[in-house]
Amino acid sequence: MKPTCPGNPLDRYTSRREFLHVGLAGGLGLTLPQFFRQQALGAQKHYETREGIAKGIIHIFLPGGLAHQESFDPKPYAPAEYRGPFGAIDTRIPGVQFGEKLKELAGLADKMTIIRSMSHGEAAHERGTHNMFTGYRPSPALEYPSYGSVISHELGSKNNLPPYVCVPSVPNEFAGSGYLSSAYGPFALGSDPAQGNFQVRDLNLPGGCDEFRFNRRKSLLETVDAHFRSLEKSDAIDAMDAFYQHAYKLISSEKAREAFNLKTEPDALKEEYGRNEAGQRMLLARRLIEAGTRFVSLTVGGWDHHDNIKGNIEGQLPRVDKAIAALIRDLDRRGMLESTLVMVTTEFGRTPKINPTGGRDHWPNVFSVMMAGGGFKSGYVHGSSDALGGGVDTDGITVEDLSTTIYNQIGITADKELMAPGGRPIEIVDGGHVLDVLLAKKA
Amino acid sequence: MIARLTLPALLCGTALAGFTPVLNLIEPRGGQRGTELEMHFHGERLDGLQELLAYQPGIEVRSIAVENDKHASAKVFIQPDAPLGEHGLRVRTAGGVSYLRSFFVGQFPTVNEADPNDRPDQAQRIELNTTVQGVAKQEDVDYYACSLKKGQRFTAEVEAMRLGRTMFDAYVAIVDPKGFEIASCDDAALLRTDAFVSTIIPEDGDYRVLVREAAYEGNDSCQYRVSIGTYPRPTAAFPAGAKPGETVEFKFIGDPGGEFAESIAIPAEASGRFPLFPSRDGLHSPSPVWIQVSPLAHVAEAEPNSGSRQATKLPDLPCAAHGVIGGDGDVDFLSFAAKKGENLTLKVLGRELRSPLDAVLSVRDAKGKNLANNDDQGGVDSVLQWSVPEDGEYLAVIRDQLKRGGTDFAYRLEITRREPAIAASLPVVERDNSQKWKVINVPRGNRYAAVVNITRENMGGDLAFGAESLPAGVALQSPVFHRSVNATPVVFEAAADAPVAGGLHRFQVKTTGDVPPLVGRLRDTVHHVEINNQGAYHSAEADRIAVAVIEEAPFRLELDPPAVPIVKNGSMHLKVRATRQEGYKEGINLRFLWNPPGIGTPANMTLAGDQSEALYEVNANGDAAPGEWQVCVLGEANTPKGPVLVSTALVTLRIADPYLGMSIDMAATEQGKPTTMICKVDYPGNFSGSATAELLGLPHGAKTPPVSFPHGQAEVHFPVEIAGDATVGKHTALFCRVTVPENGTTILHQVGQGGTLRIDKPAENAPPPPVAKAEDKPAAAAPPAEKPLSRLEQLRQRTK
Repeated sequence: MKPTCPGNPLDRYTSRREFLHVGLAGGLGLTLPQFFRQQALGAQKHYETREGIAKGIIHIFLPGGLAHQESFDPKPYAPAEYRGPFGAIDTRIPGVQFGEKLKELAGLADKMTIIRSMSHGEAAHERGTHNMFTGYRPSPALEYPSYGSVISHELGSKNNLPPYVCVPSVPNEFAGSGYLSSAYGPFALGSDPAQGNFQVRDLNLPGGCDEFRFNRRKSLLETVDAHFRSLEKSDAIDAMDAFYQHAYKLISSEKAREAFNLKTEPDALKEEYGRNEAGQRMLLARRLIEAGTRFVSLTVGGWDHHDNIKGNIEGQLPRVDKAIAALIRDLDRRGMLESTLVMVTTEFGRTPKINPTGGRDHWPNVFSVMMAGGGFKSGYVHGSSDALGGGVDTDGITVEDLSTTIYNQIGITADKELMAPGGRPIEIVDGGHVLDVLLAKKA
Repeated sequence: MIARLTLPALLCGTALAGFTPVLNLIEPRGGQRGTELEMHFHGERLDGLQELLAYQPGIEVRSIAVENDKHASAKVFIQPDAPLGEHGLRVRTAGGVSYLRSFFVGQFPTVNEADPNDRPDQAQRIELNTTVQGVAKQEDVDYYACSLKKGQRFTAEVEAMRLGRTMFDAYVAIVDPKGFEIASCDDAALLRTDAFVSTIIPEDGDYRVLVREAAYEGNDSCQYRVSIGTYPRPTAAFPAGAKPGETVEFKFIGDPGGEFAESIAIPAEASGRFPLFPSRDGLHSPSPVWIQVSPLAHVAEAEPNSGSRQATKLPDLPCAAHGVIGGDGDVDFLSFAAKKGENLTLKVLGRELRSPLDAVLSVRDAKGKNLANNDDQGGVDSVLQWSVPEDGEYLAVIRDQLKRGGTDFAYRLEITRREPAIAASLPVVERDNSQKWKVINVPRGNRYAAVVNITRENMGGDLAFGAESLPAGVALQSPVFHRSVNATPVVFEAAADAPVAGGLHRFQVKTTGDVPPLVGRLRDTVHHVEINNQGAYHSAEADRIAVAVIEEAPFRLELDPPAVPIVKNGSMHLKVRATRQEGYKEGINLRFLWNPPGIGTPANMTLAGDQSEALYEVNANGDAAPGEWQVCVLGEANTPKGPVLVSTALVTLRIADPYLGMSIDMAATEQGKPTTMICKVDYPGNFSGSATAELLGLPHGAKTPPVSFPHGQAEVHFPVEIAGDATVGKHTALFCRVTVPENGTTILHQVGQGGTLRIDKPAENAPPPPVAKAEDKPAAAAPPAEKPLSRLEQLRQRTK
């Protein structure tokens, strides 16, 4: 258990000397807030993390807002201007259809849970993204940590690998560590696995720098850091220190470095995933999870199709379909699907009616997400939208419930409170429930 | 090799012309009055260039030369009396009219920027009263040097965003001989994002003008024209308005050389926003100050009027008043008499006329009690719609939002009774592309369609739309604009022998029927520079639309008039037929151009290259307005000569009430156990023959065949087979698709939405469900069964 986060004000005033110092400067008044803080600490809801069903999570986020009508929730009986330009195809779940451009996933529908009744009511990109990355509505008062950072904070690192990796880069400002120490922030690749010369930035010693020089530089840095630490106590210094520690481990561990090396994957598998952004990013995600990364956040494409949804979907969705399908098959073949949660989410859905420029606009009232593995049911469709795909018809699901369920499956009780600056205990998710109905195996 | 074709040669006709010419750039970006110059046109499919269509007078084309399809040029003479400022130009080829681009007419000789001029010591030396055409590249600063004497006025004004090529926020400054910026400007209320500086020279010496992109983020497209000289640059005119035909002594304010007056005659046909180009000692400002021309009686404010007792008295309504918020904290009081019940519009024209004033307007009664107020209803300007509570004297009070003021904070207040007004415009059909589909290119022997938007103020009613003139051989088919809609498609048709020609033509809307006659113009605004949610940075408005007859297109389109109406909540397919020229096999992108109220269609569909017919799905929702509407389909296709658009004729689409309605009783069964869905039918309309109903939205494992029934049958029964693995649950998305026969075809109804079928797991002690076999007799074929029971009846029986 970590009583408080590094950098938390509660960490201060540990020595009698400092206490006296502050006490003298501020008079007795200072002891009262301190008392409240201690009280808050005492009342903080705490749960130990458990062994989860899911050992790792791959979060495939489709930025911009994928249209549910063209993907997991087609409306074949709706009028053409609602139905959209595509037909629906049968899936492995009897009576359940996907959009015709999800051909490969349709053949794997019996391996996944489809939720067709998500909603959060936030029609702006950044707000929708915030919901889907943190489980919270945005607040001007507090920056919330992303799923990856919470998992990093709760579960820590395994096999010297960063617990939270963003492929290929940190996708948005809400994917960070929020009020938690920046030590729990994501490790970003900094370059795209789809590129032939892909190499993770900063993973190897720079050219011309041998181990001796590296260690000398390291000790120099430690001297400087120690000096700063003696002057000031700050989250940034601790976080930087944590970063360096992670980085040293990563650089010095051959095995950890190998997790990032796509070159060792057979060509046939690379082909199966697709030699493109979507395919190679997902292949790398699998390698990372296999090696011990806890949470991989992966974005692909741009789905903000206000214009020409036909051309845009045709141009992008088949590759993503192929890549996700390959990922699920690959995990399944390796016996990792049970222990890996693959979640496909997006910012929000899109308007029921095709607009005059042949696109669909933002629509947070209902949209679809997909979960595979990690103890979620196989071949299950949860909830439904109405006849035109405009609202939740049955079994609506909130972001809070979904987040709580996801955390539960990796062994985190989302009701647990983490300490935000100012000594404010904040639940990992506020008020969500574990949705047993989605789960075949509950952690 | 350069093919030089002269104007007469081109007019004889040429097979070169491509459709839909693209004009990207006119070079140079401007020229001097009274001179001849070579104007270059850069774009695509410019071969077959026949003429220049100019929105303003004064540019005379002397010859045209086509170099290739991407470049053509013209020798033009700018007449000495050509209006100064922005001129809108289009090129017309035998294949169409281009987008609107601008050309600036100035009073000074024009020179080009000569690099390097990026440092003060490299400044390009120019004569006073010269216009320089330059480019502000990335991190580029351009310097121009002039020698000046103490006391001279020195002005530099830059046309940058106004050139309309790209997003270009210019910065301009005057640098003194010691290297200090003694005047600088990024944006000015008068010029929006463009800039000017004007100052009196303090000492003899070499002064430099500096021009750059405000954030040093220029690029090769950031062209500018900077006019550098000793010309006056006032920022406002007083009064800020006049009547058409009157001669007014305007006071020009804001020039560093002091105010000056000029008597100007306003043309009798002028109306609306009107430009004045102040001049002194034979030199003009390169861009205007703006006034409003209208027939309203007007007065000038009489200072002091910053209290209710000192209020300037206005003439009888409707009227206008002109004033200046002369200093920080200044408030103007204007009093007027109004009668109880009058609906008045009070409008401050400030920023509309490019005044720095951000007006706030309030209305008070004679005792000073605030009755109504507004800040930004008219953009930055204030507009109030106000009903007069009782007869009496009222005060209009005007101030600046930030309580600022200055000598050029001029405004015009208009107080009018709410009068009916109508106007027309062409819709924007693509984001950030306001020029798309704004010219009417009609292929010979073919048609083109456009949607016309109309606005009605303080009136309702049907309107007629028409052209004041059209090119020879072109006819306009325009239905009545029904009172319930604010847009309608119109079709232009060119005779097969219509000469290939074109021009700028005026259109108008008029009231029809027994209502007071009212006429409104079609005005079109194009945005040269616009950014998604930020709006337009530079726009041009015109009251004339380019219409041209162009060469034959390789296909024609026909829309078959539907034989039956479409019913509310119903659907139909309209047949579009293409007649292709021999060998023409391109796909045609079809667009249902305009939807009557309650009608929905896919945004577009494609007629493949090997097809000659397509069915366009049209759906009516429950709110569709019964009646007859004119609709058409526009088709766009690529040809070896570029893209071309043609339309079908207008055809009548009739919307009717449904002929029948249906409600589906809830049914419940178990896996493997057949059931019957009972639909109750009512018949608000008539038909003969049999209708056929299909039950849709059934879950997995439930099947039922279509059922036919005659008019009047009260119930329709669907025998539903339920498989042993049918999906368990309450399925609520059932509905009926019913085809009703009429006129040798059918009318598609969709009824009974929300039908529910519940499928349960068999009770645990029940025998296993029989596996559905193909040879099983369908329930419908069984010997006459007892009357199927509704869900309620079944439950009642169960409880007996």
